[in-house]
Amino acid sequence: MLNEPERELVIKARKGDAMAFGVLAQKYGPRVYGAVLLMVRNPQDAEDIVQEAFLKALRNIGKFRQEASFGTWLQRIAYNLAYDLLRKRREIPGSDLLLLKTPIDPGTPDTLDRLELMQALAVLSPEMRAVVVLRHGEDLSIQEIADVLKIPTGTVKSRLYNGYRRLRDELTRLREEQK
Amino acid sequence: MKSHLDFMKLNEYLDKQLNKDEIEVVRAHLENCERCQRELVQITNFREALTKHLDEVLKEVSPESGWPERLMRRYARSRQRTKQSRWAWAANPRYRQAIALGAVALLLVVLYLPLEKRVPSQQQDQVERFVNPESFPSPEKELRLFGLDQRSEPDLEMVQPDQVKVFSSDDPAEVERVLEALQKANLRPVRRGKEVLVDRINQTEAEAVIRKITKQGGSG
Repeated sequence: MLNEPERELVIKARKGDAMAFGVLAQKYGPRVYGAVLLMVRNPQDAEDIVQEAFLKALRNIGKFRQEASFGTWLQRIAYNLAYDLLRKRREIPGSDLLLLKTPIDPGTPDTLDRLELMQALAVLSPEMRAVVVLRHGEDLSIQEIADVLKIPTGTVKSRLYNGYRRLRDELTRLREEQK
Repeated sequence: MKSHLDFMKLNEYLDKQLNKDEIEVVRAHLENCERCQRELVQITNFREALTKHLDEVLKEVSPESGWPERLMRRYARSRQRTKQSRWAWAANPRYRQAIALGAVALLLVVLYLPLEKRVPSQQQDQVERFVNPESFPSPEKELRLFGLDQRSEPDLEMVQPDQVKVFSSDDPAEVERVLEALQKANLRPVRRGKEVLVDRINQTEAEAVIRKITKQGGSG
């Protein structure tokens, strides 16, 4: 539900209030940017998508059903734009974890190493990666992913579970390489 | 022991994507199958680790500095473009034609409206004329009232305020001759006693006709 202070911010931002716009951008931008970056794997594309999503969200706020926050509305638009880009652009899979500006600690004492995970994610097809990022990065349900990406739930499930399988295979391969 | 549960089925079980009967089947199998139990635990751990790492990555990743400002500038530009494009269609020749046609149509409507109002009153007059003929002047008199009766003799009583005297004579034959000449010249003369009057607009022309015939008369 769009609460009152948020509604006010949105109305002000629509009218061109830089302060209100800045608050919304700081509040929701980074998280959406992160998920989009994991999906499209290019910082410039990710920033363009988030910008476009903000513009669309503010322009079309009248269509917003107010069942969720502005952030959720923004996420939906951004992920949809990212997914559209992925479908249009057939990319060559490869390791591009250097996109991440923050250093990744390779010694995380976990069953799943983050560095390895980022490498494994890069191997997934764009469609699979999008679904995995939305399910585990953004904690969306299968039905919500289907709604955002406008694909059947069956397709979401097959991409997600095949994505797990490919990730596991890739992680196994990477660990064997290290040995 | 039936065949083991597949990877998809176990994930669907975790995602609550199975119906009641399917859930029962999976639970019954898991109770008796260590291999599928291990697989389920591995999948669960893997998924939890995936969520944990991706969540951390998303918290750490942020756009390069200054991006809200860049976003704001872009939004301001897009608003400006929207405002400009709001009237950009008017520059299109097709729309210009449509606007011109619309203006003409509007003008016609405005001009037509008083006519519309007049028609019912005319119809009402016709009804009234039929019911109470005395209250209306005869059609001939009506025409004369408005100076439209070209066939009728000039009415001595009907002198309009914008008429001027162009001829005067004690000789009735002379007055008659001038009157006739002006009528022939279509100058709509009016006789008032020994005077002849015409509309102010026809004064010069009437005087020229009168000069001509009086000279002819004088020379003849």
